[in-house]
Amino acid sequence: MEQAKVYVITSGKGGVGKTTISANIGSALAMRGYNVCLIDADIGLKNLDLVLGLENRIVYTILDVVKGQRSVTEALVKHKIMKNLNLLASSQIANKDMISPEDMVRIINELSKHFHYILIDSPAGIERGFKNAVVAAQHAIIVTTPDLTAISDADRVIGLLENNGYTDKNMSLIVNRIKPKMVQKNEMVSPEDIQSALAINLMGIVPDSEEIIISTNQGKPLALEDDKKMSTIFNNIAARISGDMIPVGEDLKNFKENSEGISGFFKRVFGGR
Amino acid sequence: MSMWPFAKKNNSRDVAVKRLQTLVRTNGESQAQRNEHTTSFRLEKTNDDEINSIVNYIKDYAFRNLSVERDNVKVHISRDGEGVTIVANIIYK
Repeated sequence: MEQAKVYVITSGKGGVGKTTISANIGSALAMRGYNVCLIDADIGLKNLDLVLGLENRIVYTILDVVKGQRSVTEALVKHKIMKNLNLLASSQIANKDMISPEDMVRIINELSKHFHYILIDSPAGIERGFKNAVVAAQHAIIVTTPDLTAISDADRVIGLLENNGYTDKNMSLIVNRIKPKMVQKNEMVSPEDIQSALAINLMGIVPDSEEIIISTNQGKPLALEDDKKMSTIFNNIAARISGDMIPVGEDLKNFKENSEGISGFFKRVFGGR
Repeated sequence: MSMWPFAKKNNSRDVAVKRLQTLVRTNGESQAQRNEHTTSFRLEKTNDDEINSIVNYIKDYAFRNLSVERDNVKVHISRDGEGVTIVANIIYK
C-alpha cells in the first residue's frame, strides 16, 4: 500500500465540532472503501471514541504505544460496522506533555504503511497538543463556526500552521453550524465571508443540524445513514478529499428549503426529517 | 436607533464582516497576494555570518528602495535560544 495521506483537523477554539467532523469524514471515507485510521490527539480529554460509539472497546491507547508497551497496530480499535475504519484512542489519564511531536511522527510513519487516510483529531488550543497533532500531517483542515471568536482563533491557527510550513495549498476550511436561513436573511456571516477573511480554500459547509446531535447520542456516524441530509455533506467532503471535484455549493443544496417557521412545522409533521 | 425594530438585526452580518476584516491577519488577501509585497528571506543558520548578511541585506534594501542612507538604518539583534529577533529602525531625516 502507498503511504497514507495524513490530515489534521484543527481549529484553535474549542467546541466548534472538530471531533464530530473528524468522525464523520473518517466514516464517509471508509464507506467509500478506503482504509482509514482516526487518531484522537486530544490527550486527557478524549471524545472521538464516544462519537464513534467505541468507548467500551478501548483496551489500549496512544499512551501505551508511546511507552512501548504495545505496538501501534495492537492499539487500534476497529469500528463495529465499518471494519476498514480504525481508531487510535487517546488516554484520559495522560496529559499532553507525556507525548512529544517525535512520538507522533513515529506513530504516523508506522500507521502510514497500513492505511489510505489518517485523520488526526487535534485538541483545541495552540499548545503542545496542537504541535503534536500538526507535526506529521500533510494537510490541515481548519474548522470554524460562523462566530467571530471562532474565526479569529482559526486565523491565529492558520498563522501558526504557516509558521510550521503549511501553505494555502495544503490548508482547507470547513465552516460548521451554519444556519442557512440566517445567512439568507443577512443575519449571519456566510461561508464565503469567512473564506474571504481567512483566505484559504473552502472544503465544506456543515449546517447546524439536529441529526448531528442524534448521531452523536447514538454513537453512530452519519455516513452509515444514507437517508440523512447531513450524510450527503460528509460524503461530499470525503469525495473532495479523495480527489473528486464537487462544488462546495452542493453542500447546502438540500438545506435551502424552508425548514423553520409554519411551513417548516408542517413539513416536519407531515414530511418527516 | 432606527424605529424599525428589525433593522439592527438585518445589519448584523454586515457589522460582523466589518469586524472580521479588522480581526484577521490577512484582511482577505491570499497567502500568494501577501507574499507579493513581502520580502522573502530564509535563515538557514543563525551564526554571526548569516546574521550579518541579513543586516546588510536590510540596509541595502532601505538604501535602494527607500532612499535612506545605510548609516541611518539601525538593526537590532536579540537571540532567544535558537530564535533570532531582528528589528530594523529606519531614520528619516
